[in-house]
Amino acid sequence: MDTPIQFQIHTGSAEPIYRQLMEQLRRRVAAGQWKAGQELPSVRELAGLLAVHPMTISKAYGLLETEGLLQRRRGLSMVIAAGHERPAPKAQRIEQLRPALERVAAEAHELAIPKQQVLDLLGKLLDNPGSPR
Amino acid sequence: MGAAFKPTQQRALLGQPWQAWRNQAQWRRTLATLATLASPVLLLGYWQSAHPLTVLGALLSLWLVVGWAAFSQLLLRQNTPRLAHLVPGQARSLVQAFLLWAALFVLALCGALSLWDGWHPAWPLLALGVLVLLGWMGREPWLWVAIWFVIGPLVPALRPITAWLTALPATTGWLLYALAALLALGLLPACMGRGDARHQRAYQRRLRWSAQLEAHSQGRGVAARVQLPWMARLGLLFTWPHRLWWARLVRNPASTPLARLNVQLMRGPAHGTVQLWLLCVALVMMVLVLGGLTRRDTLEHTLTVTAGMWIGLLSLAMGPSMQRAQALCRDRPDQALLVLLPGLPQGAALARALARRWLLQALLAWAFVVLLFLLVAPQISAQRAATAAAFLAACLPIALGDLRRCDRLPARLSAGGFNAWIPVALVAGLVGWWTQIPPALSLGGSVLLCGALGWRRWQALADAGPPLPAGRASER
Amino acid sequence: MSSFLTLDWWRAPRRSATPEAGLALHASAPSDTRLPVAVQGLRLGYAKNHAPVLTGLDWTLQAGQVVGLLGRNGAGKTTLLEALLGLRDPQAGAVQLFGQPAAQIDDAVRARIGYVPQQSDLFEGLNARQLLAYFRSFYPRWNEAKVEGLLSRWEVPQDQLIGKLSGGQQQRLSIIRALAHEPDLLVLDEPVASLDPLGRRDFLRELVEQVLDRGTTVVLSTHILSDLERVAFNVAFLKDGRIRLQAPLDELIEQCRWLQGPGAEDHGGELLARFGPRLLVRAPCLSGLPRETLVQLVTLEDLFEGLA
Repeated sequence: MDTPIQFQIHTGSAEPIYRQLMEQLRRRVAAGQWKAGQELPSVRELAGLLAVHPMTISKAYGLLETEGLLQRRRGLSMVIAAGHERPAPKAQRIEQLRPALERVAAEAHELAIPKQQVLDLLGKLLDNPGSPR
Repeated sequence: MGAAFKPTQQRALLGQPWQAWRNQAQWRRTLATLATLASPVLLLGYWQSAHPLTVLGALLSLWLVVGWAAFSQLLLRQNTPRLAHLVPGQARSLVQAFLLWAALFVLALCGALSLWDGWHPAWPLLALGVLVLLGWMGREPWLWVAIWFVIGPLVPALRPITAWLTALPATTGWLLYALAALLALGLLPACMGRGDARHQRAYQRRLRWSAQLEAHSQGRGVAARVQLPWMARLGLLFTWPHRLWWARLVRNPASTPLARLNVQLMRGPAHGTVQLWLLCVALVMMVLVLGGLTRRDTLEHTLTVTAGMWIGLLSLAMGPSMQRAQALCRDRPDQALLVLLPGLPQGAALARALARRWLLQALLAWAFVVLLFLLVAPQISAQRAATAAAFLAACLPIALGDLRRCDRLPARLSAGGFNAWIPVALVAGLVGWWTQIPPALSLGGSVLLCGALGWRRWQALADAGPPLPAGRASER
Repeated sequence: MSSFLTLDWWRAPRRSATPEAGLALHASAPSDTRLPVAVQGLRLGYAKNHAPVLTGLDWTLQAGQVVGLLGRNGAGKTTLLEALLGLRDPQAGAVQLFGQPAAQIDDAVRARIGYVPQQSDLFEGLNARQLLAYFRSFYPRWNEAKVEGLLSRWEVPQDQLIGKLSGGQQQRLSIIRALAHEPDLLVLDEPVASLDPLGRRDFLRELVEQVLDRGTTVVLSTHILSDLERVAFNVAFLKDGRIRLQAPLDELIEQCRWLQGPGAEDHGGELLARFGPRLLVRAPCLSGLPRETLVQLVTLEDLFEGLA
C-alpha cells in the first residue's frame, strides 16, 4: 500500500514554499515512502488544498522535473520518475542529513562545546530513537 | 443620459428601500408619521369648517411633499460615491429613477393642489420647485438651516412679488415660466452624484452632518475627526454647564462616585446641569417674546400663539427622559469601564440610585413647567387651560421611563426611535379640549396615577441586576 | 486540461519584457493586452498644508499577477488602493485602469473590477439574498452558481438582516459580492481582518481558484503575512509614499540575507535596510565575505521590518 502523497508547508520560515515542497518530496522519495510511478496531485488540486499560488506549485514541479525526480505524462498528472524505487544508497542518504548536521556544528561552535561531548550526545540520541519524527 | 432604460435596475433601486422597509417592519412608524401629519390638517379643516375635498387636497399635498422628501432621501442613500463609481450603471439608473418619479410626483402634487385651491398655472412650477428643493436638501443637509434665512426675508416680500408676477405681460410671463421650469429640470439630475470628487465631498459632508445630528440628539459627544468645527463651538454654547460641572467633580475629591458616573453617562442635554441652563434660556426667551407680543395683544391670545414655545419648553423638560434609553445603548463599552469606579453601589442598589437621580431630574423639570403654567393659568380661558393641563398631565408618565430596568434594554435600538408619546399627548390635549377637565383634576390625577405606577416600578427595581452596561440581560 | 495548467513556468509566454515575474498561467494570450493597472507619478495628500501621503508613486500590474501590498499602519495603503480605483482624485499623476483614466471609467471596465473595502458598505436594512439580487441587476456577468456555493460553504445566513450579522459574516458577504461578477481585477483592502483562521483559509482557496480559472489580477493588502506568503507571488512594499520594492516573494526570501559584523559592509549586493549593526542585503557575494561575518536567512517578517 503506497503512502499517500501529502504535502505540508510552513509559512513564516526562511525557506520559500516551493523549496519546502521540493525538500519534502526529495526526502520522502529518498526514504522510500513515495515510490516511482505514484501520481502527484495536479497543480490545481494541490494549490486548492494548501491555499498556495499555483505558480509556486508549478515552479516546484518544474524544478523537480529538471532534476529528474518527476516525470511528466501527456494529458495526465505528474508521476515520480522511475529509478527511485529503492531507497537511495547510504552515501546519498547521508547527504540529506548534511544541512541538519551543519546547523548542529555551527551551534556547537558558537556555544564552544568540545567535539567529544557533541559526539557522545549524538550517540546517545541515536541509540534511543524514541522521539517522534 | 440617452443610455438604455433598464427596468430590472429600476426595480432593484426601488426594491432596496421597499425591502428594507419590510425587513424592519417599519409600517407602524410610517402610520404614526402619516397620522401625526394628518392631525393638524384635519384639526384645521374641522375648525374652519372647510369642504372635505379641500381638506383632502391639503392632506394629500402634505403627504406627497413629505413623501417625496422621504423618497428622495431613500434614493440618495443608495447614491454613495463608491457604488456610483464602481457599479456599472447604478448612478445613471438612479438619475433616471429620480427624474421619472419626480415627474409622477409633480403630476400628483398638481392634482392635490388643484383639489385644495383650484387650478392655477403656477402649480406645476411650484410643485417642481418644491421637489427640487427637497431633493437638494436631502443631498446638502446644511440647506435645512440656510433655508430659513431665505424664507424669512421672502415672506414679507411675497405679496409684492406675486403682484409683480401677475402684472407681467403674457409672453414674458410664459418665458419666465419656461426658464424656471428648465432650471428646475436641470437642477434635478444634478442631485445625484456620479462618483467623482465633488460627489465624494458632498457625501462626506452629509455623513458628518448626520453623525453630528445623531450624536447631539442622543446627548453624546461625536468623534473629533468628523466634527464640524463651527458646530462644535455652537454645541459648546449649550453644553458649557456640563463641562464646568465635570471639571468641578473631578477636582473635588469629596464628590460622590454616583455623581461622577452620572456626569459621564449623560453628556449633552441629558444631564441635569445642561437641562437647567436650557430651561432658563427658554424661559428668558419666552418672557421676552411674551413681553414683546403682549404690547399689541391680550395675554390670552399671545399665550395661544406661543403654544409652540410651550411645547418646546415641555420637550426640553421631558427630553432627557425620552432619550435616555438611546444614550445608554450607544455608549456601552464606556459603561463597562465606568461601572468599575470605586465606591459605587452594586447591582440593584446602583439601579435604584441611578433611577432615583434621573427621576428626580425629570420630576423637577416637569414641576418647573407646571409651575409656569399655573402662573399663567388664571390669565387664559378655562378651555385652553384644560387643554394645556391635560397635555402636561399626559407628559408626566414619560418620567416613568427613568425607572426602567437598564439591563433589559434591547441591545440595538432602532435609530431615531420615534417617540410614541407625542400622539398620546396630542390625544390627551384633544380630550382636555372637549371635556374641559379642570387643571387641578387632570394634573392631580396624573400625579396619583404615575405615583402608583412609579411605586410598582420602584419595587421591581429591587430585583434588578446590575444596570450597566445597558442591555446586558436582554435577548438581542 | 491538467497539462495545460502544469505548463513549465519558464516556458510560459512572457509579456513585453518585464523583470517581474507573475506571468499568466494561461498559455493562450487573452484578447485584452491593456495593463489592468498603470500608475504614474501619483501624488496624493489629505490637506494642503500637510505632507502628501503618496509622492510620485509609479506602479504597474500585469494581467494575472497576484501582488501583496505591504506597508505599515498609516503608510497609505488604503489611500493608494482607493486612488487606484479612482475613488480619490490625485493632486498630480495619472492612474489608468485597463487603459482608461481611473476617474472616468466606462461601464465595461466597471464590470471587470471587484473591490472589497476595509469597511464594508453593505445596505444594513437588507438581507444577504436581497443585497446580492440588487447587485446582480447591474452586472452583465453574474455567476449565480458560485454565489450560492459560497454562501452555503461560508455559512453566511441568507435571511438575516445584514445589520445584525457579525463582522466576520459581513466581511464574507462583502467578498462574495466582489467575486460574484467574475472580475478581471480584484482589489482587496484587508479583506480577512475579521475572519477566523478557517475563514481565511477558505478565502485563500477561493482566491487561488479565481487565479486559476480566470487569470484574475489581484491586489491584496493585508497584515497577515502567512496569507500573503501562500497566495501572493509578488510583494510590493509601500514606504515613504512610494512603492519601495516590488519583486517575486520567493526571489526575495532566497536572495536576501542579514549581515552583521566585520566585512559586512563589502557585501557586493544591494543594501535594502540598515538596523544599527545589521544590514539587510539583497544578493550579497557570500563567497567574498570573511568567516566572522554573521549571515542569517530572512523571513517575510524580516523583509517587512526592513522594507516597510
